[in-house]
Amino acid sequence: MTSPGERIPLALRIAARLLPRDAREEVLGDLVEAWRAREHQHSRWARARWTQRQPLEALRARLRPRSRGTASRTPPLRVIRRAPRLGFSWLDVKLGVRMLGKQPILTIVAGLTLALGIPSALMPTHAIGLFNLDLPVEEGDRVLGLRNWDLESNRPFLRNLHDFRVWNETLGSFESLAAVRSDAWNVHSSDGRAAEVRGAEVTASTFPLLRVPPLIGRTLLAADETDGAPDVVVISEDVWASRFARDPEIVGKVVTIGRQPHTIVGVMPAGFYFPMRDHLWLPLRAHAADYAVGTGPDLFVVGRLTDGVSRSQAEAELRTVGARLAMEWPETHAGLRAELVSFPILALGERAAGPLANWEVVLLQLFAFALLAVVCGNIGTLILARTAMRLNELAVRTALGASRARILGQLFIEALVLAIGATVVGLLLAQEVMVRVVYRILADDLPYWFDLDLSLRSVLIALGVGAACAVVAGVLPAVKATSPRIQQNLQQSARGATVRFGALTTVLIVAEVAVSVGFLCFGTAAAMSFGRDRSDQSEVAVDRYVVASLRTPSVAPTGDQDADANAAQFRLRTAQNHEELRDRLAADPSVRRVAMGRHLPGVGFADRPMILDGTGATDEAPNGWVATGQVHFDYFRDLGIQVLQGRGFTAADTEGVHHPAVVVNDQFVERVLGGGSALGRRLRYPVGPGGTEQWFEIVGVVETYGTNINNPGRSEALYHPLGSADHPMRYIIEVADNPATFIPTLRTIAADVDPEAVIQNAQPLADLVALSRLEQRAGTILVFVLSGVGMVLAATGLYALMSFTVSQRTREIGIRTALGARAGSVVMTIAKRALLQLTSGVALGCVFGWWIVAQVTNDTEFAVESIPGLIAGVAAAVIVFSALACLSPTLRGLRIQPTEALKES
Amino acid sequence: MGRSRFGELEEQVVLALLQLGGESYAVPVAEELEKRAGRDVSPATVYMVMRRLKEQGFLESRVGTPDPERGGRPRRFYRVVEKAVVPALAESRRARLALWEGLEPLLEDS
Repeated sequence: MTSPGERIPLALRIAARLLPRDAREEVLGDLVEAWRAREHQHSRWARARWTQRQPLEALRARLRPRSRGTASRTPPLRVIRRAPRLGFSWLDVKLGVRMLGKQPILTIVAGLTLALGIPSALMPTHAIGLFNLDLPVEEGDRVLGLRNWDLESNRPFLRNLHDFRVWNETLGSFESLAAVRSDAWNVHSSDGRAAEVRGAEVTASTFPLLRVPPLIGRTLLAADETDGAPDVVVISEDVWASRFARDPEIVGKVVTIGRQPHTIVGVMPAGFYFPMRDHLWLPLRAHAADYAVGTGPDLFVVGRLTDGVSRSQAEAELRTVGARLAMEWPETHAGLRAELVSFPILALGERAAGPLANWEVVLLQLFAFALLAVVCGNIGTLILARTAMRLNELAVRTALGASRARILGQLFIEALVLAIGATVVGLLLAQEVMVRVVYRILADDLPYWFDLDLSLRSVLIALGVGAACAVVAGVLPAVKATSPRIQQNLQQSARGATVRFGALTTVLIVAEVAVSVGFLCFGTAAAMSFGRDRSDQSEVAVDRYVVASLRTPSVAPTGDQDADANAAQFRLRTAQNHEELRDRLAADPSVRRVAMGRHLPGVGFADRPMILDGTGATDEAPNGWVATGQVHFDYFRDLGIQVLQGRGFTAADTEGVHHPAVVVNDQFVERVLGGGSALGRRLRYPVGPGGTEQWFEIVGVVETYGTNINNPGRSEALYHPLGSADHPMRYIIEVADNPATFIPTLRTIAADVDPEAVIQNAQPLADLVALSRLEQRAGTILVFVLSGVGMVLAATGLYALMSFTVSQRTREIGIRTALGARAGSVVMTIAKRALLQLTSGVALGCVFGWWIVAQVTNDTEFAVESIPGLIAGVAAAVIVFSALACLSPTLRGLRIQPTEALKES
Repeated sequence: MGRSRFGELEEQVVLALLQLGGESYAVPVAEELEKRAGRDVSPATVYMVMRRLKEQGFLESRVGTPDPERGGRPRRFYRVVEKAVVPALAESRRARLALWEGLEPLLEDS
């Protein structure tokens, strides 16, 4: 995977993408090196030509047959010296390109539609394919995950230290196995500062299994895993570069991780971040002898298949051993199923079949292809209309001896040129969106093996789909237009062509108009809500705050330690850490206020449906949606939020399992309760079938404070209490100076409280709010683009219909005009059917749009002032846009001169 | 007559590698091919050829140090396995010379 933001010519990146996955980084390195060397040795033009040639060279290298030596595994490709006669030639390609140039509007509309439609249709397959990615290591397809799946909870069972031991001893299908536990630690600098670094505890077998040698020093050894051995660590090339300035004498240096100093024994090469995006590798010192079966740390187990053993053979052996263990350890393993899965499935904890069941994948793919079929159908309508206008030309060609196959071939090539061109544009667009948007937003969160870039396989599939689109959109209309019946009519009659638009076209256009009106309503509502930054209207000055969370590491119970005692010990440590960090921060001179909670201003207040007691609302018809948050019981006190009625929370509110006390804000009282008395009112959330109703009682009303920074006008919210031992816990800290510069201080204070506790997701609140707005805006743009495509499709359908009508009825219009028909009457002749389709579509779309907007405005993120106004605006826009599309054929119809029309016919 | 184990490009890549001391990576090999044989080959092509030769047992490989010039990406060095390569090169050369036998005057004329 290329690093985001690196300035490498696109052609070189594409060239690397065309090669096998485990070769890409190295080849890209070679290409970049050669490209840089050319900077001084060659002219700018020669260098550019060399660069542009690389994708083709890479493709040739990939497809190049192996040498004909005896060691060759595959036979060389056979050279096809003469292409079979398929009824078309290169001349048709040239003619196709020329035809596209002659009708630029059709080319642009159909091309852009396909350019958006084809990559969108392939998205489900591409997304599902991500879960079957191989690790980017040598023969990565033979590295697989071994795990137990808990059939009852439908989740992976990861406490498999004992299973790992047994698998290691008995499975012959794997040449080696490794166990991994991913985590994050505080790494302390010599100046006392601490930073969170993601890393993994791994068995020494991990590195030989992955076949990745160290860059410097050594990897871990079996001796490092023994208790009492010196603490050692292997670091990533990134850490070596960023924290140690690529010190060549790095081996032997000491770094403090958590509480313990560790000696650096090796550096791994760039691009290696196994298992997720990890930068440190410590020896895994968990031994089965110290734990009861089914206890111990959560582990991922990976294995490399022995040469000659297939995946199904290995899975069969694993299942057999799993069944034996289920009999041996029935208490913990009776409900477990041992299974072999791809590494992404293992690491992400997905079901073996992937995030979706097989039928869901099929359904999703069918839906995507159905949408593409609609797209093709519409373009087919356009092409049919154009072909119908060329019937005379086709008749002449037939008369001169061209066979039907020859004519079909030419029409197919025209559509193919369009479809393949559109596919290439679409793929480049998709690739740029991936690299520039997705990687940029998620760069630090994506696992290193996650590869959204297009592969050679994706490109070939897309081109195949493009060719299929050419068949649907080009050949089917051509078959219809060149049918012997039509040709016969054309030759015998002077009435013109008799190609007709059917009911299917009408349904298609009406549905497209309706869907685009509906989605445009949604898009407009989203744009009205997220297009403007309203955070300046919030009570919280977002540029003065830092938010972060604190994670206290849990330690699995060892030996004979009781699990409950272990849990109690963890809760105590967590509570102490939370309170001490808050108090230490509050005492810091640069901090104005600090408070704790799970949901804080700008951080994830969740909208939930709610039922107020005594209002007659039910689970199916709740009173409405309200933002809910969980905050520490001292939250209101710590932030100085005024209690207007009743009381705030106390520690007693967090005792027991169910915490019935809730506090609401004054906007909740005004908007949800209509200004009535709030204290003592009861409310609950809907429960599923068989669930128990849990009622909450309002014990206090506080002033509104930052519950909805993006849309302060909808800040009604209710709060639930949290105790100090609850986790995860976030902090909101108001600082006197720049929030970003306070983050290192925050980490240092936290490391002082507990060197093993890790500060996570520390960032200025303003960044968090900006990111959430960016996500909302990206979603809005996507909805707009898709609805825009729908609207363009509908308009092109109407255009095609009217254009076709004018060409079909030229003679009739001419006669009517000669007989004194008024312009209005002529327009009605041309536009009657199109108008009917447009009005039906808009009417249906308004109903659809109303329903969508009414649903989304339940969400407090949406700020829509008038739903009827919005619907009317969108409907008017669609009508105007469609009318503009119809303008050209209408004017053409009005310009028909009776004499010309009669002469033509 | 036995069959050659190398294609033309494979043979040239192996010879270029030997000219470079028996171990190198794609970029210098591509440069060597251009310098000695006048053949303009992409580093990607050379890499893929060497990768296949490795699969066939003619070469061995190791990963080198990453270089900032290459955006921190490592180089893959390939080394000739003489035991496997020399007989194949000898066979290839023998076959070529056998085909040239008696044809040298053609070159003199040109």
